[in-house]
Amino acid sequence: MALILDGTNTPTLGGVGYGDGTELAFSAAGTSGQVLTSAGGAAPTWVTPGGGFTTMSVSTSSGTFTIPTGITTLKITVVGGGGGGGNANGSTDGATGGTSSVASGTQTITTISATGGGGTASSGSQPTDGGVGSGGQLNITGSSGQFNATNKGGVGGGSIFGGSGKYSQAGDPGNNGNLYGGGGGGSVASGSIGNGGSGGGASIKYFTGLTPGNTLTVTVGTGGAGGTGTYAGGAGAAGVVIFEY
Amino acid sequence: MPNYAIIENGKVINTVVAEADYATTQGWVELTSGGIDWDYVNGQFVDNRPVPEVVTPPAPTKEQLMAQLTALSAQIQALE
Repeated sequence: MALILDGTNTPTLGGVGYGDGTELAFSAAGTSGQVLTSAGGAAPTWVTPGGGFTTMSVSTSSGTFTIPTGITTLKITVVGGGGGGGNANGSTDGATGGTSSVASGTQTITTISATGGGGTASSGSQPTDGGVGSGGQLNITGSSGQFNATNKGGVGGGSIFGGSGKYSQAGDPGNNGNLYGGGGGGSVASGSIGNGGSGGGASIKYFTGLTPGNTLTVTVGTGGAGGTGTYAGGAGAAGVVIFEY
Repeated sequence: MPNYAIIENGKVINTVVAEADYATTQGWVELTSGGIDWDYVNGQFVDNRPVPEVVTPPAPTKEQLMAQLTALSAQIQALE
């Protein structure tokens, strides 16, 4: 094939030259930041490069999430709420943390969820289990709350993000768990000790083939309330849902 | 931000964080007390959960107590 430069194939400013099978041709210029992609035997094209995630959207409240323009892949992390710590007096137990999840909206997906940590019972009972993740490629169980036999309130369990509520001293209420998903600490009274609440579970998954503009349904679990009374247990911390794209 | 209870058949099946407007569209009830597995009766949250099992450690046997005394005696003698 001869290289034909006869004035009809003027180089495009910012374009690239390629052979069209007959003569030298020039592509359009593309836009800043784009890269050249082969189209096999057809003319190459400029495209916006893919790559790692650049944006994180943190949901601390239930609602809907709209898949952003140009986005077809999401990494979703859900964390359940932490359980409440126990009341040392034994009259009331801490409440279980709420379940966080992402489910279908107008976009159909397989639900990913994480239950809250167990609200723990008061002195003399077993601490409860941590929350569990399900539906993810990675499902994580939160730490169990603890019983403390040294006249201090039981330490709460942690989640993958939230630290536990620390132990309390005699006569003090339990300390609250930390965001996100940490279990509350138990309280302590004379001769009686409240267990710590357990941490929320977590689940992580990549979703592909999504349609921009479609929606997903988001639920964010609460932290469980601490056992109420004179020596109240610490409250668990609320969960969270994170979208990365 | 308020907490809300998701109720099915008179029982709290989940507790969630939400804006009031969104919660209203979902039919969720503001959580004023309690949590998951509580009952919701006549507009009130009621704790009808089963009482958790109390774990009582078994009483030590005579042999175990004697072993503890022997160990303590040895520690005291080591300090003298």
